[in-house]
Amino acid sequence: MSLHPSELVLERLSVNDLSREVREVTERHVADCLSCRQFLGSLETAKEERLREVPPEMFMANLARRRRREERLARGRLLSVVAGAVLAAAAMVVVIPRLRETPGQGVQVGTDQVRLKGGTGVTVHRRRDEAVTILPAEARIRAGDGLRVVVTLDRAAVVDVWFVDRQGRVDRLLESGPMELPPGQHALPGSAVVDTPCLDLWLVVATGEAATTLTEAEVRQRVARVVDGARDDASPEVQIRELGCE
Amino acid sequence: MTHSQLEEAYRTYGHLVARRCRRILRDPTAAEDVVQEVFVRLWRHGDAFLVAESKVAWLYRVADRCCFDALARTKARVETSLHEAPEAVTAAGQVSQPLEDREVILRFLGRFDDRVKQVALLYYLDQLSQEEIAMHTGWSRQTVLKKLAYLRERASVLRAQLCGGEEVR
Repeated sequence: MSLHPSELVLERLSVNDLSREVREVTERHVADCLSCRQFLGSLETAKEERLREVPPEMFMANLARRRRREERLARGRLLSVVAGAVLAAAAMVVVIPRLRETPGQGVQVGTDQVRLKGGTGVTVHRRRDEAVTILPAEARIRAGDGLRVVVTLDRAAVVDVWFVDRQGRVDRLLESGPMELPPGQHALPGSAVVDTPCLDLWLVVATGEAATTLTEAEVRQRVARVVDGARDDASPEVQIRELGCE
Repeated sequence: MTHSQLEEAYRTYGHLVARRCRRILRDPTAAEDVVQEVFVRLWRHGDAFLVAESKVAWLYRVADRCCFDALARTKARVETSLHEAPEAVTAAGQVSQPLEDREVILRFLGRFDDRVKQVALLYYLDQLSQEEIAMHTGWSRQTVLKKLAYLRERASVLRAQLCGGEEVR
């Protein structure tokens, strides 16, 4: 730490968000430091201005309106997602008569269906030469393949999905950000087309809080750890599947 | 999370979230939109927030993510003159890094990838030391040093282009 506490520490001090130990040290510094007291004063002023400009009642009303609007949009999206799931299911019935079952709970990486903790599953559907198949674990991808992701949830959850290529480029599948989905099978909107030349891809599926908080940098980091041979057991909310090139 | 808990969270932390979003996005309208998005996510995932060790860190994490998304959506940021007044108040003496670098980097934040953005925010906005950034991100100190060196170099190039009236690339 430099001579003064960081702005982050002072911001946390201003709302009593520090541990007792750090708070005591910081308060001792602030007592003798005019500039830090001025900074804290400016935060207090900012708080008063904020509450005057956007009073809590107004903010909460705006929030409720926004949430209602998002729920309406989500319902609309859900209809198209359900339609997509029906089409995907139909394709599965035509192309693959019998799906391989993946018994049990917990994390399994590398099977056709990556199962998330709690019985949630992820499958990848590949479109190649107009044929749609569920991508088996050992199958490879090539340039031009279209990839769609189908998730099966045993309870309502927020989901976000990214593809990371060997060069570390991260592409989010869901352009409008994380989606809140009810229990059941959902073909997620959007698809990824494998670039030319083909680069190995990693599919990253996050559910729950991870879907809301994970940054692209963290997605890239997690993939790098998997590439280095680590199993990402620490976070069952984030699942990674490798999609290697032919 | 109940309605009253959410309202209380807004009363306590709303100004901090708004301040951070404005500093990252430099567009009050876009920032206000992101503030609402942060609190919508808080509404949905309030349980995680309630047990978080640091409420501010939790909110900032979500705010950063929402801001990065907003930057990615808009792509082109409003890149105004460097001669604008800097942020109202900063704790004097804390700026071990030159303020000008910070101004330039935050102004052009949307141009960097997320990993560099994250380092930029921790260093220039939160004023964490290199060691603290390494601890916070789990990256090696060497990686953090490289990112900071890259940011300084880019700041220097961008500043030279701006001051020389060149098109910023």
